[in-house]
Amino acid sequence: MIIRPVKLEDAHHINEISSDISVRKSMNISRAGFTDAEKLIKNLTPHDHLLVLETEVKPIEICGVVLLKVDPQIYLRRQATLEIMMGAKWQSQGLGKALMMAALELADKELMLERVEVEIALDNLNALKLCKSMGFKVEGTAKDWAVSDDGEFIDAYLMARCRPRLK
Amino acid sequence: MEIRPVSTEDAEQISRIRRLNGVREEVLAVTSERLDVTVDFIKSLSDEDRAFVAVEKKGEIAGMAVLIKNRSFRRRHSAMLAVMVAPYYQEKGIGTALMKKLLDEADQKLGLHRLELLVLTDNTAAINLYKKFGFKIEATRKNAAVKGGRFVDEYFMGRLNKKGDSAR
Repeated sequence: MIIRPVKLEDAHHINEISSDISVRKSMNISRAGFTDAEKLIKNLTPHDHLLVLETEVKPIEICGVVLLKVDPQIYLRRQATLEIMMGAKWQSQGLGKALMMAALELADKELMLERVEVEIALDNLNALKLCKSMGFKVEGTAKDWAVSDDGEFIDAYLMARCRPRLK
Repeated sequence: MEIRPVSTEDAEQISRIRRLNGVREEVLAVTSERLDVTVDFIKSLSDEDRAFVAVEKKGEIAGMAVLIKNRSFRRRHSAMLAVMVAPYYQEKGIGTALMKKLLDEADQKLGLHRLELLVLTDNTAAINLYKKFGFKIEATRKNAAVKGGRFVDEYFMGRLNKKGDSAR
């Protein structure tokens, strides 16, 4: 497995993953970005960091993506939102964790961010578990936060992870 | 006092209020913030957003309230709002009047289901104002803002439209 920056050619693989999983199962449930990956990739700014995890042996396949979006507003440049999406057949193998770890290392050691935020649907227990294991804490619950694939309102956990204080 | 929609000619006064001690920290501004930031903000408002100013005698701006509809496809039923009142005009009911105007627009005209806002956890006056209008604290955002060289916490508050969804 390798983790590398995204390329425009990855767009249709990312769209495939996106259309395959439900909004309830994704981290950052509003997930505006991944519905049109080509547009997303073309519009990335220096504040946006998009990494893909892919297989190393042929057939080379993209297993998941992580998007770390730093708030471009000068006052908020210490904060980012994190969205991660893993293809259905690549889940529950620790790959999501590896991808998330790559994004958080970037946030902690290179970008020096103070806060990384995720939003997850209340019933997405796997995501909740993963986020907790990575140091995210539930800061609260937002009622009727987003509209699901079925058109109903869903509540979300608002979670964040503050920069670990290095010794 | 009169409440009317904002115009780009108000930018100068609004920008000055944004940079004042006691306001700046709350509205996420910095002392170096140039006038264009406010001008661009006013120009960026769409038909679905709302921004009002409270104007005192001689055209002096006492406060401002904005409602920005969430653009994300899954969150179009909701909007973020913010209210600011110049320090020398605080505790005179201006915040209440601005909130009332904004919520009328949100509930009646825009038919929004959910409203949300951010406020520093030590800003008791603002928190009480928001609670009076039905906002509840949904989350405490650790180190989400900066005040005087330190990270401070922020509340995320939300309010659902009691009359139910007239639009999504």
